[in-house]
Amino acid sequence: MSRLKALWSASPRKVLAALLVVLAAAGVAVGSGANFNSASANPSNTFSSGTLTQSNSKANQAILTASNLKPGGSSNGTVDITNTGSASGIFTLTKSTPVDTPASPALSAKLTVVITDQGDPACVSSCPAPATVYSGTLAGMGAISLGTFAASAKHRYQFVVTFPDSGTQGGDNSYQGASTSVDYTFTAAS
Amino acid sequence: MRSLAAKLAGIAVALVLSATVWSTGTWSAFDRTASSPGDSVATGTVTLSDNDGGSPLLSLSGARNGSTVTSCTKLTYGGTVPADVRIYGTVGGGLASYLTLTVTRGTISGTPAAKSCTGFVADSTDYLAKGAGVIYSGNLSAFPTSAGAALVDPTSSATEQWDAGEAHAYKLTVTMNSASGAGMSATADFTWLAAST
Repeated sequence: MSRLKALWSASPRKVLAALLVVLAAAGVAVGSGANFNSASANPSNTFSSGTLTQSNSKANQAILTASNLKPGGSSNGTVDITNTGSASGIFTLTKSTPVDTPASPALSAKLTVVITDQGDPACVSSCPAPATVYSGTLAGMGAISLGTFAASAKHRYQFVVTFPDSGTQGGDNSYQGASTSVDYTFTAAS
Repeated sequence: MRSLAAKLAGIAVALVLSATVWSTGTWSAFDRTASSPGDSVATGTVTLSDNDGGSPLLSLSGARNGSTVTSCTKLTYGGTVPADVRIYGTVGGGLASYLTLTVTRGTISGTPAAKSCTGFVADSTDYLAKGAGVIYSGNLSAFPTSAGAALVDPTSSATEQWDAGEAHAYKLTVTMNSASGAGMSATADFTWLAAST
C-alpha cells in the first residue's frame, strides 16, 4: 500500500490511467462471454435423387388387335417397357374395365390372356428365362407387379389372347360377332 | 499544488480500490508477511474429436422416394474443463426439402470403424417424444445452420456438460420423403461444437 501511495503522490494521473486500463480489461473479459471451444466437423455430405421415367414402344397404341377370331384362335403382340430414368422403379401393369359388345355374354370373360416377360430383347447371353406374369381371362386380371426395374432396364412383354374352344358343336355361337376392348397401363413408382 | 480535480480523482480511486478489496474479501492477500511460493495459473482445454477424421458421413445418389442412408459417428471429449456441445450444419440444395434427417444420440463401445453403426445403442431417454435417443427429426432443410441456433446436446432443457473422457455416438439417418424431389441434389456439413461453460 505504501508503494501505491508513493506512486499516487508522484503521479496521480498515471495511477488513475493504469487503474482505468485494468478496469477496462476486466470489463472486456467479463462482458465478451469468451470461452474455449473445439469443433468436430463432417463436411461434404451429399445427396442426390434420381429421375423416374419410362418409355413404351406402343405408347398410345394397341398392343394387339385381333379380328375375326374363331374358337381356338389366338393373336399376339409385344410391347417394350424401358426405365429411362436414373433411379430404379417399381413397375405395375393394370388394365381398364373391358368394354364388351354385347355386354352379355361378355367376350372378355371368355378370352384368355397370357402375358410373358421376355426380358431384354437385346440380351444375348445368360439371359433370364421368360416368365409368365399373368395367365387367365382377359376380364379377370387385376393389378400385376412387374418388379423393380433398374435404370435403363428394358423388358419385352408378350400378350397372347386366345379364344378357347368350348369343344362342343356350336357351343360358342353366343360369341359370334362379339367384341371387346381394353386399355393396359404400365406405371412406374419410386 | 495539486489541483482540486486531481485531489477528487485521488479520493475516487482510493474509494474504488477500497471497495474492490473489501468486496472480494482478499485483504489478507496483501499482508506483507504472507508467503505463498510456487503459485501458478494454468488454463483449461476444450478438445472434441471424432472417430472418422472429419470425413463425410452420408452419401446418397440416385435416390427415390423412401431411399435411406444411415451413418454413425462417435465423439470423445478430451478437454479438462466441462463443456456444452452444440450441433449445427450448413445445408444447401433443393433436395434438402424432401429429405428427413433423424439424429439419434447413443453409445458405441470401443473404437468403431468410421461411419459404422455396429453396436450402436440409443440413449434410453426419449428427449423429444420422437423415439429413444432422438434429438432431431425433421427436414434436412430445417436443420440449424449456425452455432447460435444450434441443437443443444441433448436438449436445450436438459443440457449435459461433457467431462474429460466422455463420449457419445450419434446415428444420422437421411430418408427421401417425397417423389417430388426427383432429379434434385443437396449437400450438408455437420458440426459438433464444444464450448467451455
